[in-house]
Amino acid sequence: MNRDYVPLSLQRRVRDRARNRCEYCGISQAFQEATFHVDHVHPRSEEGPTEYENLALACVSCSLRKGARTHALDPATGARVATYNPRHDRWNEHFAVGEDMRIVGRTPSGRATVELLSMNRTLAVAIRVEEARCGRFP
Amino acid sequence: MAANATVRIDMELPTDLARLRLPEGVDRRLQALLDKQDRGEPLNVDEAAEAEGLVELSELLTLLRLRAQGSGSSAAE
Ligand SMILES: [Zn+2]
Repeated sequence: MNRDYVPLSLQRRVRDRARNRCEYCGISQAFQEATFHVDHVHPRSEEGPTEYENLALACVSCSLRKGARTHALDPATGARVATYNPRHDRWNEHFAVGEDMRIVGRTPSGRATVELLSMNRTLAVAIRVEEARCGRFP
Repeated sequence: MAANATVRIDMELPTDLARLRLPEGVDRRLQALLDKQDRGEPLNVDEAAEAEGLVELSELLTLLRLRAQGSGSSAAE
């Protein structure tokens, strides 16, 4: 029990590093109702360690949908590719934000991640539009 | 028919909407489900549906609050 417990001090460092933003979709914790989750990037089920370099801050939606997944299908080609890894990859290389606040995948990995995490659900886009209006997104 | 019944709630907008918050216990339950999944224990069908519902509820409340604030009230806390 608790072998995977992420100590609060470590969680705090992860939140600080992420500047309190979801490391996948980029939304800020500030005005979100649910508390963002500190996730293992490389999953526990595959022996991903509970250490700073394997943790990422995720909004509840991205956290739930990512789960233990590290690969997904690129909707453009149908190829199975590695999903975006916030510890190794640069966000701007893999994603862009459209005028309409939809997130666009710029690479196979980016496209697969947008799809896997359902980043462009109606509610998520509507929240981004409000956040953009207040200058908090992107 | 009960299934088709609608509940009407009169609220003053936007100030009342800005007061609709996600209860702490609900947030804690969602965290527990995400913790479980992150520990490498897949959620069962019921838990996955519950988590999905809680995510949607929290996002809906977020959106309502953001819109209530955006529509000119002096807002929040
Ligand atoms: Zn997210």
